[in-house]
Amino acid sequence: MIGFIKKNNHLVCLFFLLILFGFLWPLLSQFRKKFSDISYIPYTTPSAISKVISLEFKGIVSDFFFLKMITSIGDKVGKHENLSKRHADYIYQSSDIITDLDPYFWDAYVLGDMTLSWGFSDIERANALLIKAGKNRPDDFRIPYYIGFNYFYFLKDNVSGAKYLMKASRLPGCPSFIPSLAARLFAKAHEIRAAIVFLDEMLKKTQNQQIAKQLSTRLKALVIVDFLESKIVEYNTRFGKQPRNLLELVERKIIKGIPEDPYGGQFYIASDGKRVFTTSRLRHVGDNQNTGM
Amino acid sequence: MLNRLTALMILTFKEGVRDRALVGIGLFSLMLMGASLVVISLFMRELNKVAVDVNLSAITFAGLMMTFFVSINLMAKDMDKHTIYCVLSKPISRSEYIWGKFLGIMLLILAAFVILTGCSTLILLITKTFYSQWFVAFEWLPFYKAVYTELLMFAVLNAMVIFFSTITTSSFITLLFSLSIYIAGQTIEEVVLYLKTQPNIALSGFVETMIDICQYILPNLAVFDMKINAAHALPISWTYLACVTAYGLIYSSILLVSASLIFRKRELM
Repeated sequence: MIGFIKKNNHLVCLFFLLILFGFLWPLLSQFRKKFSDISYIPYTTPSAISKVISLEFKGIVSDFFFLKMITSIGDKVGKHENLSKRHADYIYQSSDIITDLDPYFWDAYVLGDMTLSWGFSDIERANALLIKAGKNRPDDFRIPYYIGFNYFYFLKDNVSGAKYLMKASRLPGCPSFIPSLAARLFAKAHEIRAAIVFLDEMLKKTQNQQIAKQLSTRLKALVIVDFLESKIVEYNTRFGKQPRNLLELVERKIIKGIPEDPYGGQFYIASDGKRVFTTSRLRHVGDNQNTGM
Repeated sequence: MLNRLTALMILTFKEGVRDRALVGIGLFSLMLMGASLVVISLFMRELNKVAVDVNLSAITFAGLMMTFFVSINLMAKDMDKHTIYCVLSKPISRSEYIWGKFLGIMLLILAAFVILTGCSTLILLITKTFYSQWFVAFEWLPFYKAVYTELLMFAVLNAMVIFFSTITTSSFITLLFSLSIYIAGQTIEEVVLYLKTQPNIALSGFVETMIDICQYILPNLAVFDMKINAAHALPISWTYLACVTAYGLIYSSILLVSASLIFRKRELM
């Protein structure tokens, strides 16, 4: 035995080291899991420094920062964790730095805008990012279109919203529905339908599965809201009064049942008797403040 | 003279090809390009931008590694191993030696660029096929123009390496100097712009003069960086290309002529 060990000392040594490694690895993994579970806000490096230290690799560095932003925020949204103002600050600063490194990076502008507006109702900074995008991409119709959307949907400023949509309609490649949408806005028409059109357009052009899933959930919820509001109108036409609750629509066989809220809440008719809201407020139930994009 | 230059160029090229570091550099760049196939699936929509960014960065990275490790060695080896005596004992002037070395190194970098750009084209074609829906704003011409301007940048950088090789006795010092000039050349435009547009930063007259001097002496390597234009398929005008080509060639020539002048006076131990 001793002779064998002496003869194959390297092999024996390697064998014991591999056993030790086998024991150590699960222990180390447990420690690392604790590290990764700790919720932290990633740092940002100011543009003045990032731009200089990126040398001629600004494009790939902006990709890296963007990926970091997607994964860090996406992970929290996926786990339905509470997001605070600090996260909104991170998203804004990060989008700003990424677009300083690559001023034409549209995805960074869009993600910043979408997260700040839908998740944090921080329309001022969402629009600031879009205005910066407009300076670098003056012929892109999507920029005034998105600003216009933020104005009418979140700020309820239909006049400013319509103004931006009209601006978008004059730029090359603008879809034909935008001028009519602008006209409807001037007439204070349905915001929900505009939101559906907006989200549908976003969804069609989003490749990232996680973000597409979040957009799809929101779109489903808004489609249901739109459907229920149209049924309230139908109820009113047929019976000459507003329904008191959604059950009345079921009882009168206008709808088969109350649809489920994809966010886990319950739909209800607002006090004006016309609008439909949900107890989830289009956020996953259990979240206090979630990007829920 | 042309024959002698060609002979030296081919000799340097062959010597460079024998360097095993090239295999590692090439493999690393190809791995980086290959990784772009997987990495881009994590992004949202502008996949063409990410793919072009990664591929062009991989080509540039390979060029940098070749400049800092292979080119410097090619210059230093002749001195360290005293093989320079064999070369200079032939009817070759010292100026011809400098120009021949430079052309050989550039031929090596050109060969590497051709191979890597070919691989990159293949990878972009594959990516374009798989993700055609998100590969809208992409054009080949700006991509190849960006590769060309990078090649010009390496002409300047390698002329710099040769220049420093003639004034220093150690390849490590040449590496330090060349690396410093590369970093300074890439950032000088940005730093000057930042300093001059910040109202809170008050610069003394002396510092401003120094900045101006640095701006004119150091090569502005940022002018060769067209990666962002290529990534977003933004047009790069032929006039700009001509201007950048002239800048690159004139700057490299100034360095090589200066290197020849210094090398002619240098005592070879």
